[in-house]
Amino acid sequence: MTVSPTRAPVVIIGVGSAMRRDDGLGPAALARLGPLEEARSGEVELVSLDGEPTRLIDAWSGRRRAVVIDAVCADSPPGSIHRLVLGRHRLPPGTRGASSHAAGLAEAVELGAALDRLPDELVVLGMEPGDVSSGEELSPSVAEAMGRLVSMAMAEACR
Amino acid sequence: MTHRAGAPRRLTTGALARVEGEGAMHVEIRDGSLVDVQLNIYEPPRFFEGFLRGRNYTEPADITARICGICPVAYQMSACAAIEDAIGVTVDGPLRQLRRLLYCGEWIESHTLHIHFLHAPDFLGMHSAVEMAEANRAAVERGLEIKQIGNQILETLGGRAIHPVNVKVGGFYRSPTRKELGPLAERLERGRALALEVVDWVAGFEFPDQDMPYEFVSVDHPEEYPVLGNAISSDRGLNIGVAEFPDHVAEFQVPHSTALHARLLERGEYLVGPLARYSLHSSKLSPGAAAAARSAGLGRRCANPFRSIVVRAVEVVHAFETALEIIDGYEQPDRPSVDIAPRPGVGHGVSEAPRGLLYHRYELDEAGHISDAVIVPPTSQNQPMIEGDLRRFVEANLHLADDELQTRAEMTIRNHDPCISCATHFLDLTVLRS
Repeated sequence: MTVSPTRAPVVIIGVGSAMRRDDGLGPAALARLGPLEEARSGEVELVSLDGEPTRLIDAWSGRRRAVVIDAVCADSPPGSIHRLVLGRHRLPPGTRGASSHAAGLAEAVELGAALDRLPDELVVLGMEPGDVSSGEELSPSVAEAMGRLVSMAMAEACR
Repeated sequence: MTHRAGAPRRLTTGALARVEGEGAMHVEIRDGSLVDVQLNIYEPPRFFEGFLRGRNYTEPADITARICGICPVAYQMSACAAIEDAIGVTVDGPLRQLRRLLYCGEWIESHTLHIHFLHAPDFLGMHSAVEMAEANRAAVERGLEIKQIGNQILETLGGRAIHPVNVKVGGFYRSPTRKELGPLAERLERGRALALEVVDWVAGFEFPDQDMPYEFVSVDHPEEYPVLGNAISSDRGLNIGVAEFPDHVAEFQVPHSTALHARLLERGEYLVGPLARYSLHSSKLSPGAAAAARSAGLGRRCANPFRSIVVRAVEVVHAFETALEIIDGYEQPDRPSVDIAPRPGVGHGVSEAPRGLLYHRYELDEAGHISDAVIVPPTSQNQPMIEGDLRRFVEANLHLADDELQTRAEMTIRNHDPCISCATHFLDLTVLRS
């Protein structure tokens, strides 16, 4: 896909619902990324989404690089971080169903590939949630790991 | 991420992506007869009702928008209507028109998502929009473009496409100038042309001949195809003001779902949504939408749930034409909102979410704090009727193998575009045969 001259070349997308505790770790990470210089200067755009596939495609279309932060279930301890590099490729076999928004993210990647609407590089940073019940607060393990997740996300964006 | 426990013969769709939200379906067949059908929905409005208590009257428009990423405007509009009713103010003129315009954006976005990415694959024998994109890329590209135009309405009026931030009790934080709406109108003309193509496309699908015994219920407005209004009617004699909703509709708990079901006290199950709106008010469609409906072979009413995809496509045309008409007649109001002074009272509000009538009720104390909140979303009202559709379908098709039964049962659910509205997207299907 051609990189758009009118959009920031790099986007960090936080996926999830802030009303479902750790499911909202994506938006929670964006809240911490917002004050950073790279985001304030517009060099890196921050987008909060619910995981609906066409919105993901809209958000990353025309970008050089997209970093997606999402809750991911991989039978690891809460707060564990998983990194998946996807650019121009579909999700590898077995990935479908790993994310709490699996249908959304997996389908968005596949649909984006079919329509030639993937960014040049797509990195998914998934964190294992501990509690996705109704509520606003992150679980302690996820809250503790949030600083590392934010650092990794900005490092990926500015590589 | 919630999954239901297994049982002897269990078929599971790990992620039924083509419904919005999280749920499960359970079908039990014993000795060749259907014993039980349950659609289990894990739904957040119950949590939000508690969450709203003690909050200021200004907050529900923003808080309830978070219930659903697909239809935040519906939650905002019903919330504002209920609080304005409690306070005793009326929002009309250009501010009301701007609310209708914002709502057009949501209908376009939500219906287009369902038509192209969730429902159409069922009629084309495909498993997903990805498969459809490989076979008919132009159709999927068209869906994305229409949806983006709907987004543009939300961004222009709401400040952003997801969970708009410009809506408040009494109107808006800022109203657009006529000039700002100009570029939007150009895009809407393009959207209208694309939407007419979509009606032609979906009208060509094959539909089973299956009219259902629904009682249709929707918001009622004397001149407008229903979106905003203060009355509710049905095709079997219901004709009430919005404040009478709790006197005629009973919510009840069932063990298998966290969502309350609803029924009319007088007659039981009923259906809200596009089929209801169309069947009750097709005479109020915009001219182009009415013509598109006729050429698509729809009569004055439609009780075939499979044809709901055509009705949604017609409603998208109506939304484009309504939006264009509103912009054409728009004059920027002197103020972006009417003055509001809180007072104690009870207020009721309804509006037509893409999936149907959405009711809110708030009780305010003297300080303008919410002492009680009730939210009745469309999918919860439709849940008994969806289970009824499933029951009728399974009873008529017990001879099918489990996998075929599963696929067709899922289609039966998708006909109603249930918005299960939480963040996670799972629907497990369990079929028990003994």
